[in-house]
Amino acid sequence: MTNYLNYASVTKKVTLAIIGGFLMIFLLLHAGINLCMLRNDGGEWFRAAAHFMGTNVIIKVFEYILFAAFIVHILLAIVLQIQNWRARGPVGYKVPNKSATRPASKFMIYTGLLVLIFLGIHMMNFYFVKKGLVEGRYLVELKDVDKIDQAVLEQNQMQIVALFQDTEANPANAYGIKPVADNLTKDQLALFGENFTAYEPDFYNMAIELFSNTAYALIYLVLIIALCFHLRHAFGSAFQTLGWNHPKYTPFIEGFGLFYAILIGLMFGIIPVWFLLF
Amino acid sequence: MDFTLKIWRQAGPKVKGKFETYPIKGISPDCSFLEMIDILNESLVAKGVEPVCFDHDCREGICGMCSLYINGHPHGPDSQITTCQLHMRKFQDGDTIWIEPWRSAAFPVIKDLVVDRQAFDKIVQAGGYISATTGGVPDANAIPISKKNADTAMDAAACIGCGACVAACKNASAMLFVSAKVSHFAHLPQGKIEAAKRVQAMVKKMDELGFGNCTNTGACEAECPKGIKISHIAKLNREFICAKLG
Repeated sequence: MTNYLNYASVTKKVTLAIIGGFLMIFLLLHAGINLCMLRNDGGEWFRAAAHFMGTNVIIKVFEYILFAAFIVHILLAIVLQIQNWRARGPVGYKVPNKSATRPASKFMIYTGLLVLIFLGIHMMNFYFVKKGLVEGRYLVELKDVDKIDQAVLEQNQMQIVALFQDTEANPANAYGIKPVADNLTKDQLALFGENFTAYEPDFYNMAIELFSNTAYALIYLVLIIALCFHLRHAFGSAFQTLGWNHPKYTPFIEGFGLFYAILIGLMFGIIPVWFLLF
Repeated sequence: MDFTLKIWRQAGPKVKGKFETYPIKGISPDCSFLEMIDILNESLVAKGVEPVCFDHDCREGICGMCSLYINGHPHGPDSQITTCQLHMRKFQDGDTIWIEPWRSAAFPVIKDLVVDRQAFDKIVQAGGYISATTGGVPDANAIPISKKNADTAMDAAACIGCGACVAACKNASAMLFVSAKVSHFAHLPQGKIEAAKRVQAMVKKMDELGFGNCTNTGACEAECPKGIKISHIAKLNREFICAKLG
């Protein structure tokens, strides 16, 4: 780490910018998947997307890259910020600076910290459930029922069938059986036996439950707005740090940065608003 | 015009400073900001008070010697001028004016409003030059340079090294100054030869001296008395990346 502190300021900033660009692409993908929740299909599309993201080998490799990216981005930002605070010297200004600056550029560390808090909450609610560290809700697909231990199946047959029963009485489904038993608690999951591993976390129902809590939904929205402000500066700033400044294209990049920040805000923000209203 | 001045007074580099209040009356709107301080100093000397120390030299906006952080703006509230070019008509009668020195770890206060800006000289010494002997004045257009590059290099060369960019930046970053020097040379054939070595050496020295890291806020560009654009910072970044990769 001490060695890394000695890297040139520009090297650190370029690293920060490249990683930031990667994270911005990730955000777009994540927001796109989240939007599947709004389709009125009982979470079918969202589950399919979550299943793909949770099981695809390439995505799993990217998961590690993503973690490394987040950690390096956060550590670098903190190192740079501490250097920046120290650079002002022992005495600061009495009158706060009134220079015209680019929108959102002065608060990056603070909006960044809010995004970090968001990330922490998000990991607790979703990612750690996937890793089995936090208890959540689970789902089992009907096709995986034959993976249940024979003895267990015989013993708990009635209860397991009950979990797959379509309580909303879908008339199109003659037997009233759902393709997925979802929103299962840990106790219900225990009915499938100790050796049963073909279950997945039920992010769809977990998200709906969280968003049905108004306080949670509002905090989520506030933190998403912080993310928007962070991205507002981040997009154009990354181009500038990478040396891509051109009299013709820079105004377009700045405008696109604003569009991107608002787009991400709407894509993430519409979901809690939707669940609060409908 | 009458003003209330709140001026930072500090007897020496190691001494703790504080703001002193000086009311000043009957100032002409056509008086320059530095002339206004001259008038204040005359009155202070007459009273037997130590006059306020401040940097100044040419008083026509080309030497880069004057400084002062006035009411939250380096070189005061007007744009693209130095403090010596600022006139009191830019203020309202009865205003309270806060006058502070540049604040940066790399620019320690020497006395009152005077700061030590040798850090900029050290950065230039690290590579802000070309090693070739220049000899006599060459013939015009002996070395072909495109109009665009000549103009951009000239824009960068307008930097007077006053340090307003550092003073304005929330990170006390010297990137606008360093980039002006790097960009000036990198746009000219004479400077291109040592461009890779220069950018790395100057950035290294800038970091060593304790300047902050640029976060592209654009405050430097807004306050630069010579209107130097942050596109030069992007040019420095390009030069730096190419130097590291190449």
